[in-house]
Amino acid sequence: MTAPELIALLPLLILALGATALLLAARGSVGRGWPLAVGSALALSAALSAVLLPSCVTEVGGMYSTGPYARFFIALWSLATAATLISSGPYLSRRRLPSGEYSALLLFAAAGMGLLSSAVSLSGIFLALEAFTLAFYVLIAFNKNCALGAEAGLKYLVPGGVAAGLLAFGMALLYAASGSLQLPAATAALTIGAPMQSVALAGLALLLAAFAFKLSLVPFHFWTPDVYQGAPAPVTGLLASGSKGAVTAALLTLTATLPAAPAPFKPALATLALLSMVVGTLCALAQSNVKRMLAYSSVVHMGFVLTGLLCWNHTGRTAALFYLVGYSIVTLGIFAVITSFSGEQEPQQLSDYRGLARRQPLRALALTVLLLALAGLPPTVGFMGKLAIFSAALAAGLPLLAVVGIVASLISVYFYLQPVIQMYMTPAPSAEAIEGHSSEYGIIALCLGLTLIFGLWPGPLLELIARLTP
Amino acid sequence: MPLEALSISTAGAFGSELMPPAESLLSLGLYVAMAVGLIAFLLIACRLIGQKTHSKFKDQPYESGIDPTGPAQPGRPVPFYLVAIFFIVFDVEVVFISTWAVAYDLLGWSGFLQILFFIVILFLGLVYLWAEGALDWSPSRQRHSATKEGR
Repeated sequence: MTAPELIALLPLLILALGATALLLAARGSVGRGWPLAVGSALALSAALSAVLLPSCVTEVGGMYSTGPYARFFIALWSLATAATLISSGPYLSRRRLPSGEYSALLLFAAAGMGLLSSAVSLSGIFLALEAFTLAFYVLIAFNKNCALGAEAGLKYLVPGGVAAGLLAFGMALLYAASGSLQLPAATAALTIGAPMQSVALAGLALLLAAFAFKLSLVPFHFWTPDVYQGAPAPVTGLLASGSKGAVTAALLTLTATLPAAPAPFKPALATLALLSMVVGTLCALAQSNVKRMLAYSSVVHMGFVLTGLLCWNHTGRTAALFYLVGYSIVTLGIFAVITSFSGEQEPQQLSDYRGLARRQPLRALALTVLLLALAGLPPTVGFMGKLAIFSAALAAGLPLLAVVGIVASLISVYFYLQPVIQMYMTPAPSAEAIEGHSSEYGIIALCLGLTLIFGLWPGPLLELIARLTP
Repeated sequence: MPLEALSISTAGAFGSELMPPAESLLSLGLYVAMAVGLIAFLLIACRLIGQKTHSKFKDQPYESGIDPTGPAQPGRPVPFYLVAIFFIVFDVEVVFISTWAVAYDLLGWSGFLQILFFIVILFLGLVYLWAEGALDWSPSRQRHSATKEGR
């Protein structure tokens, strides 16, 4: 490891070493705010150094790239982590949870997500995936007084273990077929006519199943609603945006190295995308719990992102990444609102949202706009993202996926409007209002502003992403 | 590299010389069929001709003749789990260190610094555990630290 490589790794080193230092310095930090402030400062400085500091090397150890694609995602996940840290102060102190360990674990997760987005080898993908998944195992069950939280932790742990096993086995098969763990070389064994192509295909199928577990694509989605329901709301926000986004970024790197999809691979991916859109939408219709509804909605959205990847060209990948960035912003905003609505209990049932518009008009309005952004109505980033993905899919000759996606997003308006109807059209019960903290208001306003700005003026972000996309 | 080294050919009747003779496969199949058939017969026969009476006392779990008391899934302290986890963590550390030690002369100072980084990070983890009271085995100390943290 040379000095230029260390400088190239600086954003990740800030995150990982900062988290270690924070873990040691902030013991017994129940009810204190400074670990969260230090944690978000560390995450912000990591994001700054990722954007500003030029890298002299192109990759580190043959495992992680330090190119603009990697840097963009490191900055994005660091910012998402910082936003989560800033907005979860009152949530933690109300539940008497230790903020030092919380900040350290979130920073570890950010480092893992950044590493995963920059992985250019199979071993790099495995290490990074496990790094942030381990942090999430703890974070999901962070509230030890909540029985649902422990259940959610276990339900994330078991599929996570299965996915890790599938991933390792798939990588072993790809290595056996190609003799390399580097990405372009490892997937070269998939081309038609290569020796041991069938072994490589089996490896790719296992790899794909592991990714589908992490992205909660149907039929690998069963853990999602229970984990979303049981996990603390701010953690769920990062799980939905950062964790899935980092896995998608790695999947994009993987698919970009395949010049043409191997014959059975594309139909398999298309089936996953179709099933995710259809089953996710139908299950979300039946939910009366908002967090479970958001879980199924994330299944649908991952189907949309996969549709973008399936175009198998630069336009499709750009659209998928743009959608991913927009979805992350909107999801973080929604979970920030749910976090700020949380008193002793999180507002999970639809009936918990009755009459909130009268008592908390600003946050109710923000939640409405963000939910409509998920549904894909203009003028939000959700609309621009869907437009980009479906036009790319139509141009690439995937009319079935595009039509199913459009129908799914039309139906989805129904379940996204359910909490809005509860907030605006029903009288409020006589419970006391939960005052929001200024930090929560700040993060919600930021997410809302970005949702509208990128919806009205998506050009610069799209151009930036088009330049980054491999 | 492994391709040439292994020289596995996927073309043709790969591994056909290792195929067992048909008779032994047939006897294995017969054996499997008999075993599965016997189990299926027993289960179905039980279901068809067995007695199906339910009563409060019959459905009770058997506790060696004593009335069962208390819930079936009580919470239990898990210090042994902690010990097991510590063991695994430092066991894995030894795996990495010995891997480095085998090739320390080839890896040079760069390898030394990397393994040092790894050891220091794990040592910081140990310091954290120690400071949190995870290494206080005696029950009274554990209770003390539990009340101190308010958990």
